[in-house]
Amino acid sequence: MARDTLVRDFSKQSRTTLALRIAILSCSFFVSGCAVRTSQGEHYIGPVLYTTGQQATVQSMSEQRHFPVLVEVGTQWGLSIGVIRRVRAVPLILDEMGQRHSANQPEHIRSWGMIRLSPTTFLSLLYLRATPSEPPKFLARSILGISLGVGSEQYTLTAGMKHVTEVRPITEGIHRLCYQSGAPERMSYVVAERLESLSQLPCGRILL
Amino acid sequence: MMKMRFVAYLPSLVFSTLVLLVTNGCVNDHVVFTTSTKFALDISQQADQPPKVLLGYKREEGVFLPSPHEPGTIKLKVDVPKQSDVSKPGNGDQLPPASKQTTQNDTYSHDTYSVVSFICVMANPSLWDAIKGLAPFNKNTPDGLQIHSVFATGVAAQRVSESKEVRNFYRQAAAQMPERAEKRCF
Repeated sequence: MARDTLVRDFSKQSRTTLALRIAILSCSFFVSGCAVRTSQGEHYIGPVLYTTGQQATVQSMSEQRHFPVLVEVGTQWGLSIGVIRRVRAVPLILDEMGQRHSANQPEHIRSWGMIRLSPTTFLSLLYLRATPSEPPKFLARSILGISLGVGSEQYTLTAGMKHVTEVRPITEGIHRLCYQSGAPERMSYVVAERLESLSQLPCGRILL
Repeated sequence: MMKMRFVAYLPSLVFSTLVLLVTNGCVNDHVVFTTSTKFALDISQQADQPPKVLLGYKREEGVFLPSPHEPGTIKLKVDVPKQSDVSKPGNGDQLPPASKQTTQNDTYSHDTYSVVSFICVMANPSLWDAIKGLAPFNKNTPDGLQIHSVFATGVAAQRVSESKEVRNFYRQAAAQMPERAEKRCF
């Protein structure tokens, strides 16, 4: 009798512990994000606010915002707690005639559990996959909180606020970059062989 | 028990992380333009720079240029006289070096790494604006950072430096700089 009670109590306790673990895992899944970046593509598990840019002035551009936890795996490893923002862009490449290079392809996005907030911005709750055509040449990373990161994008251990931008241009060419942190979706990044080609795509008030 | 083990290994973990940060870095063989704004305790390494430890506020704009660089893309045809022509009486007393005893050599026009650049960076130093800029769903944010840069790299830089338009652009940009009281790049 006592043995039966003990077994029943134990199984009840196990069920409670299991339910608690599942609840914690579910909550952590829905409040935190995981970014897996490989050479083939970028995978985002969990909530991410994703913004894409105008294709006329940049080949591909995207902005990812995470809150409150982000685990990064792949080409960049890290753990961040706070508000995390990352902007990546591949320049629009113009040929000698000033025409868009035929090989350029915008990134392909596939998402499960997507809520569209505007034509360029959506919230992905479960899973998002982005397949960039090329590795990014422009990167901006912002963190307000604590971050530890090791990888191709940065080596850092930060507690506080940090905003870093990096441009790694292709070897040969004339580049023009226009970037505002307040409106990254309107950024312009063009690489041309001739200077005249750049003036076809003005950057604000600046002619060149 | 697991918690005790984790706490015991925590100093080693932190030390290993710091060693990793200090001993590893992004090894680049190409140019990198970078800007950063920090208000933090930060241990980081960018491009080929040595690691840095910061406590407080810092703004930084920089360009990292590599010393070694692959040859450029412009192929030059260099005519070198034949040895038989040179060795003829009246064409010179000295023989050319052995490496130049061909009629035509393909050489590349290259140097360390040519870069011609114009960079305008306007940073809003307000910490509150920077925090507002990070907030999700907030699209009406002030411009914490503006970057407008035009730069040419490699052999394109050598070509561009001789362009009249670029010289005019630099002249105009230099004249506009003191007038930009509103602190905007574009």
